Amino acid sequence: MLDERPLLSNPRAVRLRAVRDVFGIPGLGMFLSMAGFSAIAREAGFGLFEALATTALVWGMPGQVAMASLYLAGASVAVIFIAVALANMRMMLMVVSTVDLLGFRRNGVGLAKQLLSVHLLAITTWLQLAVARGAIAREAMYIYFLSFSVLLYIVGLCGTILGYFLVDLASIWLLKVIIFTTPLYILMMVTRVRDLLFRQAGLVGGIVAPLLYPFLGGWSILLAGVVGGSLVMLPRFISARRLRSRLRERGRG
Amino acid sequence: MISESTLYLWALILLAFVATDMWRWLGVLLAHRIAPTSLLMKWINAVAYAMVCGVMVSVVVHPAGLVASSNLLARLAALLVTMGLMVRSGNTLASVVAGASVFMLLDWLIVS
Repeated sequence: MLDERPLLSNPRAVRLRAVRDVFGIPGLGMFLSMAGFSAIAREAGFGLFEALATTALVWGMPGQVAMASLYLAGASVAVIFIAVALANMRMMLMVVSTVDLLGFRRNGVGLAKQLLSVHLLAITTWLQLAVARGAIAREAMYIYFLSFSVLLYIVGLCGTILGYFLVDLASIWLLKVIIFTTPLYILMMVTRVRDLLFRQAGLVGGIVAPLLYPFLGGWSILLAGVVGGSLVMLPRFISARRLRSRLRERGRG
Repeated sequence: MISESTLYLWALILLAFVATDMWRWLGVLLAHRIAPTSLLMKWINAVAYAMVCGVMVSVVVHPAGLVASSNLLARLAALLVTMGLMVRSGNTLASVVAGASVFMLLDWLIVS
């Protein structure tokens, strides 16, 4: 599919676009998702500042929820560390696949700023970058990322505050629905990603992980990721191999 | 006076920070060593998508906290309705709102 519209590269226009994008579905989704986390955290015995610090420092909903619910269950420190690490391990792969897009080297971003920048990378931002790719020029992607992710971070902190007090105001029903909405909207964001291969990987991962969960717990996520990713890549690996051996033969002959 | 349990919770929060950001930092270190257009990079991306969906569907099927008391059938039906509408209409908001409504209705019908 050819997109004839020119890509946005003017910094002002890119920033405006980022702000507009946050105040659409991504911001609403993040707001509700952090409100949901905060309700779980309060149930687990967190104070408001503890809930806020968790959002600010972890900035990854599945790990935050794992931590709060294991704390409530009285799990040991080692169990909590491993559970959070497994729930958020995908961050490494998300970061690896984003660094080139953001062009840290091209933009001359120092290491400290690189580490701070990737702290802001959450699933929502990562998926949004994949969607925004078609509208934003490559050289303006870092500006887009910073504007989008900083604003989304603020929205997430606001959601944490609201969620903490929502427990006093809203019924259990409403809280349940708010918490339940998060996985739905993130999965729907994946369906909007352009590359069919990644949507297929998501489908396989989404089927494999919950099936293995009763046996493997948090490790099921890692396994589902490797299985899903490798399965959809298999045809490409095979054709790349064939191409290489054909080239080798031609080189010999 | 700061109680021992408060200190313990703050230590846990810092631990959760390390357990998460060590992956992000490792990602920065690794990214500069992998060619952006290589098959390996494509595989990493595919694995990341599979993990994101794996985490999220697991949250639907095996939830923690408040949602754990809801009915599994209600949650699965909501997920299917949301996906079906999304594929047909492409409208995220409408699909998620419809899915959340199905969840609420079915959970209420089954529990009560």
